[in-house]
Amino acid sequence: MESFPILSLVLWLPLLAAVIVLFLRERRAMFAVAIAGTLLSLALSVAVWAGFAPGAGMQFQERFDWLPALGIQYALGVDGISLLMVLLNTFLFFLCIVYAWASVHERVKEYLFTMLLLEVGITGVFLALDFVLFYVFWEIMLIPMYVLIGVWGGERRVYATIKFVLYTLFGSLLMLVAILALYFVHGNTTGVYTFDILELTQGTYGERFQLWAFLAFFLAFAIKVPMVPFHTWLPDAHVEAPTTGSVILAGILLKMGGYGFIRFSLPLLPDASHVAQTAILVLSVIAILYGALVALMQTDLKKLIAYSSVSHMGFVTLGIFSFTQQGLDGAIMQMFSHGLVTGALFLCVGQLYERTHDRLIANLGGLAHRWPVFAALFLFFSLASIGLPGLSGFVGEFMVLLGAFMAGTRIFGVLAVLGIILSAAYMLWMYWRVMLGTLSDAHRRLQDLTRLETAVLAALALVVVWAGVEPQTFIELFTADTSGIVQAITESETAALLAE
Amino acid sequence: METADLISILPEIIITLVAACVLLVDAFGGRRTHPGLLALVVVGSVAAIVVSVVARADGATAFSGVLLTDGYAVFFKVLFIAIAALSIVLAFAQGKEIPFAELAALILFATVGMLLLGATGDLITLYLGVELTSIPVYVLVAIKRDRFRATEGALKYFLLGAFASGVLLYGIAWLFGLTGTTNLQNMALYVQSQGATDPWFLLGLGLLLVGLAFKVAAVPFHMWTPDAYQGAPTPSTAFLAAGAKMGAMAGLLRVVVHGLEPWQDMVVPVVVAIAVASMIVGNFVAIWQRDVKRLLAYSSIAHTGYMLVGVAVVHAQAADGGLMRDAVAAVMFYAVVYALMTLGAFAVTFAVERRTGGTEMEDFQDLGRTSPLLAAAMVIFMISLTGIPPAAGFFGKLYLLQVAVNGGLTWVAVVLVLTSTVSAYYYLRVVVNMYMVEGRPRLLPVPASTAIGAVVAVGVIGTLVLGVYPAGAVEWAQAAFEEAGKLALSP
Repeated sequence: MESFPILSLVLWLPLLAAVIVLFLRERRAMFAVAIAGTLLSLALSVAVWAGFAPGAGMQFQERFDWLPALGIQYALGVDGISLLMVLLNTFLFFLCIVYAWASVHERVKEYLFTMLLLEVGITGVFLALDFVLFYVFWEIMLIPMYVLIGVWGGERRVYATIKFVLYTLFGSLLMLVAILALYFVHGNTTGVYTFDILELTQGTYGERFQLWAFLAFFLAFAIKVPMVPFHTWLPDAHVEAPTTGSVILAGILLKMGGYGFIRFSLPLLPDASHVAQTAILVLSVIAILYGALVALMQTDLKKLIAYSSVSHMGFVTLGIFSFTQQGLDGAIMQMFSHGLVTGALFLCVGQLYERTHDRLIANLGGLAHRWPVFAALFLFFSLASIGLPGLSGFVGEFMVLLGAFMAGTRIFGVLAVLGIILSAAYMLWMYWRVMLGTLSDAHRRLQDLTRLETAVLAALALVVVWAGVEPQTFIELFTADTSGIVQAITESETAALLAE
Repeated sequence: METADLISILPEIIITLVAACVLLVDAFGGRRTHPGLLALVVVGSVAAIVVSVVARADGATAFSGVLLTDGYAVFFKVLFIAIAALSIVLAFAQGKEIPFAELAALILFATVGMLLLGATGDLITLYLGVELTSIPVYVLVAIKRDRFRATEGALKYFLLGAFASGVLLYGIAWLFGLTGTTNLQNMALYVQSQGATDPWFLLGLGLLLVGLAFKVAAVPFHMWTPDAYQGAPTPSTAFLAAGAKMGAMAGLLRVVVHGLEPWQDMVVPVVVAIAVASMIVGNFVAIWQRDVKRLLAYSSIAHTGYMLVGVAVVHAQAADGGLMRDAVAAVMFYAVVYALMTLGAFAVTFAVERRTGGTEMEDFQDLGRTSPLLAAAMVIFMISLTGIPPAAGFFGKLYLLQVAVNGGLTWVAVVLVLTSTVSAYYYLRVVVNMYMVEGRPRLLPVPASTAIGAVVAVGVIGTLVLGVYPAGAVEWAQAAFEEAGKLALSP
């Protein structure tokens, strides 16, 4: 099993499918290939899961020189944190392509090519063990997302997509400079010039340098998460993106920011993380409350869910920067859960829009009468989003709050709880206005979900229940890895205290 | 003069002969010989490339140090001959309004000048190379002489260019008067032993740099670029941007590496200032361009700025042998990448021009629907110019950034990445027009052309291959410089 390049297969199978799709003519055949590619990728990532030993560090590693003159390797590997993200990714992409079978009829070849390329980019971000390789994937996914919003998007798609690209590029290019600086600082102190993430993580860096590097990384990740005040690209991108684009955007793209904080900012730059802790906790709480309040005021369904994402992702950064085991584990669970639930909610809104051609809450109402299946599933995911116990959202938010309280920063925990209450308010109010009440005449003849659509949502619902009832299945994957990070952070804290 | 000397300029001789043949055959045979001439150019170029790599003279210099025959020279010879051949292939798709044979011959003559620039070991050869490149290029810009824009561009280019050549020559004369030599290494050795405190040195040096900065189109000596690029027929523009400019860059880098080390305190800040100004002005002014050729002109100014960052690092404070090698190799690698993506982008622009007669943004509308392959190729070139992986432009920038950070010029690296973000805006606007704007009522597909297709294919394949597997080219550039580096240290 060791020598079998299973991670490369997970990574590159979608690309292979994308290339085959280019040469096909029939819509059916193209979808068959795309579904097969994503399904195989999903199956292989489940196989990785089956062979994964929790707590044994980076596994299934593959390495060979890519650009030895610059110390760049092609290096892949998974630990529990990245494994969970990869699983989420391959799962969501498979469902999206299946869903697109029923909903995408325009420029199908280009659409599938773009989606599959996007999957390669995102999977690569989570698998890369070399900084340059990581950066390459981080940027590769920009272009497909840009095309996805720009070509299949709504009316203001060009504005939204360019805003998305410029925001992201701005942050990530600064990160590139920080990566290069890291490479030289590490090389100058140890004599080993490498972009190997594991090796760089073991190094220690001066505090002044850490602060600058942290700032650059922070911008890249904070824009991706997105943290307030770097979030303004998100509502635009979500509103204009096609349904599957929104699912991927909310489901996985945002997770790249949280993943970056956990994988790089904390272990690489612990001293600077301490310095920034309070500021980031404040920003997180602002994001939770501000996102929730703005969501309350939204008239457009997609915008409402977009702002709820801002609020939910605030919990992620709150958990990460509590520097506690519970907080970090909770943040990862929250990312996982948010990917599933918000992805599902965007699918629901997409289905709603395809039928009614309307996303304005005021124009909808009473839809539950006509669509019992849809109403049930939509309610289920709305409740999951609020954090109903027994569903996945509860686990993450509860653990994050626990972490926030344990970190001795009670006030942040107290304020964050308000965010949960607000989320109940905006989600239930939205559900009430859209699904209950009187049905407008224009919407009387619309059909309920097809079997395919139901199956896609049901698959998501199943995992949401699973993660809610038996979260240990997922937590045990990564808890050893997070405890390593927490330990490193506390060590740096004690060192700082001793120095005083 | 020995046989070895002649062997070392064999590529130049071949190219000159091919150019002469092209002119003669066309004079007697007329239009029907053009396909044959194209074949002659391609065969001649391949022969010249093979000769430059294989039949290298032993010993590092030729004609008693006037020309250098190291790996650096060979690297640029291969690159320049390939650029010239591709530009001529592109020109073949041009209709009757432009005389193909003259165009091809002019490009070849200019190429001889570029070959000299890559091999120059002496300020006199530098000047010869610059002039031999410039004069045919003036004509290339003006070749559609009945068009107002062509005449305007050519006149501006010629007047400013002739002035810059004069400035360059004046600088060379100063330096000769002060050091008693025009040989780059002897000059550096003289200054090292005698000291360079005399302010007149700085005057000569400044004039030299100004002249070269003009030729590479760096801010503030860039004013001619947009008009010349827009006025010239597109194949000429492609050659102007990818070829003539890179020739001057090769010469500039040569001068900096071999001759300017004793002046590093002055040279580094000046080059940094020019680089930063070029990146900022080029990228910001490009935002307002409606014409894609003008847009590419400003973007080429920005790319000059990127490369000058590498040039500045050559003698940066922290520079040791390894960093110097990397800095030069980074510029060399970028020159290859830049040539590929620029030729490709101009080739697509040329194809679009053949459809509507214009190169405005609007002319690109709907290209994604009508000519999906060309549009996809253009996307790759735009991504590469922006510096986004997996296109080669990313590794080009990464390498430059790496040497900049290593050389202690982190703030310049930050300027580079910030202006690159700006560039994403205008490059992606081209993509927006191709895919995301509903076009004018049904534009026709772009007329097919094998010649354009071939150049686009070379550009796409090159850009992607260097983006996925840059190691080979990078190592070649590094090895090429190892030789030149040894040269710099020997008396």
